Amino acid sequence: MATAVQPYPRDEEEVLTLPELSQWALIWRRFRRHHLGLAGLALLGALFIVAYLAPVLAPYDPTAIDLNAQFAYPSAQHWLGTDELGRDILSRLMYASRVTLSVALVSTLLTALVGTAVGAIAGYGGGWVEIILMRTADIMLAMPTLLLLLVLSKMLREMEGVKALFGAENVSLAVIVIILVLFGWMRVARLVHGSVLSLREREFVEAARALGASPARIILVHLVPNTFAPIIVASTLGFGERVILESTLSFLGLGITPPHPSLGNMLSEAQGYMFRNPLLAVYPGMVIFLTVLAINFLGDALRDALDPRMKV
Amino acid sequence: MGTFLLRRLIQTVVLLLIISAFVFFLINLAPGGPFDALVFGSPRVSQAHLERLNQLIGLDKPWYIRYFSWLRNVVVGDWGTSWGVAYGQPVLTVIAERLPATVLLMGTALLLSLLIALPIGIYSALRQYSWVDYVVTALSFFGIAMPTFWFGIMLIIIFAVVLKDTPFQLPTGGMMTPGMGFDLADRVRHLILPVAVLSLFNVAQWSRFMRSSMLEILNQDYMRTARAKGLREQVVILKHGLRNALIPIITIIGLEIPALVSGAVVTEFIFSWPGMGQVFFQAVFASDWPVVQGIVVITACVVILSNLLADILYAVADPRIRYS
Repeated sequence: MATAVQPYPRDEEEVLTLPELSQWALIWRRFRRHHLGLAGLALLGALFIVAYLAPVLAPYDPTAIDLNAQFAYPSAQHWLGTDELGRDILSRLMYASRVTLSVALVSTLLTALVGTAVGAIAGYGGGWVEIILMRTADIMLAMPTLLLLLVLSKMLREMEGVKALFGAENVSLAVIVIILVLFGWMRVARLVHGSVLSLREREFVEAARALGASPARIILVHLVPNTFAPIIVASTLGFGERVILESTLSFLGLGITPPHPSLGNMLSEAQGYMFRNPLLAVYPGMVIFLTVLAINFLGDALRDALDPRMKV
Repeated sequence: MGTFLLRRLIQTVVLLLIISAFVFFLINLAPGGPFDALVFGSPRVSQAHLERLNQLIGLDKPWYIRYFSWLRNVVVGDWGTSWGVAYGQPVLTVIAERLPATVLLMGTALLLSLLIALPIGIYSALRQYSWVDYVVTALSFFGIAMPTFWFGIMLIIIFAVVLKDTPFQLPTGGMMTPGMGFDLADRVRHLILPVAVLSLFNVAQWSRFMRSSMLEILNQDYMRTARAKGLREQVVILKHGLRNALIPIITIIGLEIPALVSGAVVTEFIFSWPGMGQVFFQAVFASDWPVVQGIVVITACVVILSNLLADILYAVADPRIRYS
């Protein structure tokens, strides 16, 4: 005997006594229905854990050279084989992912911060501040980004001041974060600007102003928290784009440079040995691909979960 | 329409001036100059010598003054002289030599992307939730997540390493077999892999755009009206549906041009395609700033003009839009 399916909504009494769900519980409920989004979240979580636990999990020192074991095929000792200097590929992949993910994470957080600040100030301030800021965003969106990223990267890493500030070894990391933020803030700024424009006319903002709140307080306490949904979605999708951009720049030799391993510079090294061991070029790209795929699934699910009407 | 055109044209010119000034300012901050090789070659050249040389060619003036003299020269066709990749050659010559290869690559890729993406998107929309739709959706997710350069490397591995010495082996570098004259078949074989790499992302993304645009149109009232009039389904879909669905696509593709340029730089690098992207890349590495500046400005022009073109086409294609 099958149990009778409860029609929904159940009788009024029962609906009224249903436990009240918080905003976040509702979002989680919508998110959970998105199977690809869940899969993306799980995969991304796994990638982050493996990458950040590299010092514990990695079977070898990623820089340990073993000239007796060059280009070894996958085996019990080296699960994914070794590269041209006999270094363990699996260990190198873990450390490289850690660098790539960290750079994408830091630049995404900074981008969100800068974009939100610009968008909120432009939207709330209005007048010529708004015109200058948002026109700048439009102009920068119309520029051939990769060309300028290459130019800036080359210039910045050669400047003495930058070298002195971050130390010669870390210049490539600092420069890539700086240029990704410099050319990344526009989309978040536009979204926040748009939201703030409609929010600032709402009653609760008027009420806050009537109570004597300063512009800074209105922006920080009343406006910005209400724009979190589009910021989160845009930043999630932006994270994936930055993983690809950073890898592309590193592959071209103007992103992260040795001694720091990154997925992009592993690929550019592997390009020289494509005929000896093509697998060397397969692995790093596969990690980039899976990361971006996972984050895109996650971003899509978040968009649906946070606000079904939202278009980012 | 006339005033709209004029206003957009003026806006475009102003935008170009701002962007070129920005690029000029940026590159002005770059370390290194035209006499680096001189200093490097003979250590006896003193700081005083350098300053005099810089003064001679006007490098001692502030950047905005130099910008205006540069602008004046650019208008009359003097884009400066390369001091790295093509020592002593005018920048315009360097660009003119490389332009045809890039136009060939990007043009073929653009055309092919449209020819593949639009029909796929339309079919996907007409058969929403069919297995074809699911396959297309899945493939486009893969295409969007695939880094361009890795896809290129994978194609090289497949067509030059795995399929080596089979009829399917394809050339992976350059525009033609060295030492060979013009041969159409040879040209086409060299084009296949770079075009495939450059088109993948576009096809993946544009077919999504086309699909959603078409889906939106299919739910419009006028589609039902057309059917109610007793028009054949084919006419309803093509004349009433497709025409309207294509309108937003024009703008979207106009906005995608910068991405296409970025893709072209990477593709030319991987396949040693002798185009502008490749020479740009070499110029960046050689700190050959005049060439870099010329190419950035040209690319910015192309991008902005294609946006303008998209805007005009949009206005022409959609009679509902009236610019006053």
